[in-house]
Formats: sequence, structure tokens, C-alpha cells
Amino acid sequence: MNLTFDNAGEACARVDLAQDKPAVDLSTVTFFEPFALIYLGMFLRHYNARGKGFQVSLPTSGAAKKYLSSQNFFAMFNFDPETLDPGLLRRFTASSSLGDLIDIEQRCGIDEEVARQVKTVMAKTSAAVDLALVEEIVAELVSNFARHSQGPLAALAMQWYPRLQRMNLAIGDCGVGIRSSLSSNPRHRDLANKPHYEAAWKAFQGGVSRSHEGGFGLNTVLQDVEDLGGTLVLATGNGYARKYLRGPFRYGRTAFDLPGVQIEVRIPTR
Amino acid sequence: MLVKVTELSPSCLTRLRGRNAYDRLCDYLAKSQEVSVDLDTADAPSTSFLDEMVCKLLRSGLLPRVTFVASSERVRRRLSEIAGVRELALKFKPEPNATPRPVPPAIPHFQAEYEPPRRRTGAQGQPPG
Repeated sequence: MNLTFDNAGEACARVDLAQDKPAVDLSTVTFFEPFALIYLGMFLRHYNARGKGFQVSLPTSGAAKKYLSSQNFFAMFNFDPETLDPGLLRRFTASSSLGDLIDIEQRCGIDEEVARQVKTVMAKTSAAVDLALVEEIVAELVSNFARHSQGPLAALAMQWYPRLQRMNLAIGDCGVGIRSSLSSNPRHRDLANKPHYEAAWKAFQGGVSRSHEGGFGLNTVLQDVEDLGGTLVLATGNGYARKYLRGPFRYGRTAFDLPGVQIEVRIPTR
Repeated sequence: MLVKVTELSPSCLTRLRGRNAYDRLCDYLAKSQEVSVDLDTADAPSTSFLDEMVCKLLRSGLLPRVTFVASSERVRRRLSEIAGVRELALKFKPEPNATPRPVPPAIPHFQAEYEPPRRRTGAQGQPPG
């Protein structure tokens, strides 16, 4: 089973959080898409920070297990980000490649820095894609985290599938989420009593922001993804929004209510 | 006076860069009553960058003295959206020697629909309460 946007929420919803040491069953997972890595990682991080230890059944698939191990997946998400040791963070290095998981710290200029590094990593591959647009997408998503999540740490996962001619890139956090962020602006206070998915949809409208400045980030990302012929999925709280290549923008309710924002863009490459 | 946006900022990607570009632009506006900012670069300035620069110009009262030069469709679309969302009068010209004209305002809007939960698995789980 591939763990993706379509089933990551359900996988988390199956975990019995009332247990002292809840069981997370990944035994049947054969492949983790970037969205699922970020979603699962933020799930673990959110509850780890609240004192929950998990009992994880690792994938029986050798490749999936090896991948998690190579990325130190559980160590990466098994600590309270409020008390993080910067030395433990996984940052971009000269040997970073597509497939790596990267920590994103909350600090000034991090948006441009991460965007530039993603562009550099992508330029090393033979994936033909408009790197300027990819750079802009990453900058906007990281900027959204840095400006609005009120959390100290996000994460990025990217994968390139040459045979499928597609690149997936996911960024997520377990911060306050879109609804809480937008409803702190008096203009959008009514969203506090509305479903998360309505806040998610609203956030894609131009000029909608927590502050009187900004509000173009997600709209820009959506336009860039459309210009690239790609698709986009986003989860926040128990709401989601998605835009596939053909078809309207859709939103709805997820199987699990996870704080923060997790988003994946899928971009065709040649 | 004509200024390339890359003279205002080496990168045109983020709000922080837009703020820095505004600061540099003020130096040019101190020397000249009218300044044209050429936005045609290899990588189009981001909407966030442009919005930050425009908002700072608006707040300082300097916006009427600035005309944007933009031949790229993408950059013009971004200026239009800023003009539409912020309800601003922006000026642009398609090339440096052209006559300035108003940026047509546009508000980004798209159709969206609620997706009922699927029967099987998926991100969608429960119907709205």
C-alpha cells in the first residue's frame, strides 16, 4: 500500500490515542509519498510533544523500511520542537538530494534560503521543469509557515519519479493551522466557527491573510502549480483543499484532525 | 528615470526582498520626480515581492510617482491582482518608452465545490457536522 494524501489521514485516525503507548501500524506500507511522510511526521511530533510514546510496526517492505531508516525518520519527528537542539536538525548540505527529509527552522530569510536550496538540488537532476516557478512555490510555502504557523519547525520532503515524469514536494508543520491564523484577523473572525475546509478555501483567495499585509501566498502557489500543469493538495485541521489538473478546486473534511498545515504539490517533469 | 528591479534587489522572491527594494527605490525617488521600475527579469518578481513594494510605496505616498515596466504576461497579471485586491491605481507600460497606462485591476477568483466524503478510504472521512 502506498501511503499518500488519500489515506494518510485514515492511517492516523486508526491509531487509538487513548492508549498509553498507541500502536502505529505501518506494516503494510510499501511506499511513502512526500505528503504522507510530512503528515505522519507531524502526527508523531504533535503527540510526542504531548508525552505520547508510540509503538510502531515498521513496514515489512524492505525498501520502505530502509527508506525510513536512511532518513532517521522517527528520530526526526520524535522530540518536542519547543525544546529543540539546533544541532539535531537536518539541514540542506552539499550532498542533499531529492528523497531527503529536511527540517525548516522558523527564522528570518528561511523562505528564500530553502527555496534556493531546493532549486539547487533540482538543478542537479535531469528533471526538466521551470525552476523559477518551483523556487517561488517553495518560498511562498516556507514563508507561510514562518509567518503564520506560530511553530518553531516545519519539514520538507521531495521526491522525483523519472519514469512517471513527476516531482512531488511537500511542506508541513503542526502549528496553529489556517483557521486559527485567519480568524485572528477581525475581517475573517467568522471563520473561527466554520469548518477547517472553509478556511482552507478562503486562504487561496487573493488578499486573505492573518494580517493586513500579505495574502497572496497560496493563491500564487495555486497559479504557479496550474502554470506548471501540476496538482496541489492541502490539509489543515480536519479540512482539506485540492486542485487537480482537470476539474474544479475542491474541499472537504479529512479523516483525522491534525493541527497545522501540510501541503503537497505535484509537478510534471520531462 | 528608469531603474531595473535587479538594481533594487538581487532577488525578487520574498516580502523581505520587496521591503529592501522599496528602501533602495526611495533613494532613486529622492533624485527624480518620476521613476520607472523595469520588472522584466529572467525570473518574474513574485507577487509577494511586488505587493510588499507597492504597499510600502502606498503608505509613504510615493506610489503615484512610480510606473512599472512589464512586458511579461505573468508580471502584468500579478500587478493586476495587486491592483484588484488592494483597490489601487497602479501605472504600467509594456516597454520603457511607451506611454504609462493604468493597470487593469483583477481579483483572483475561482470556482470551488464541497466534496462529499467517499465511501471507501481517503483523506475524506466524515460528512460535515
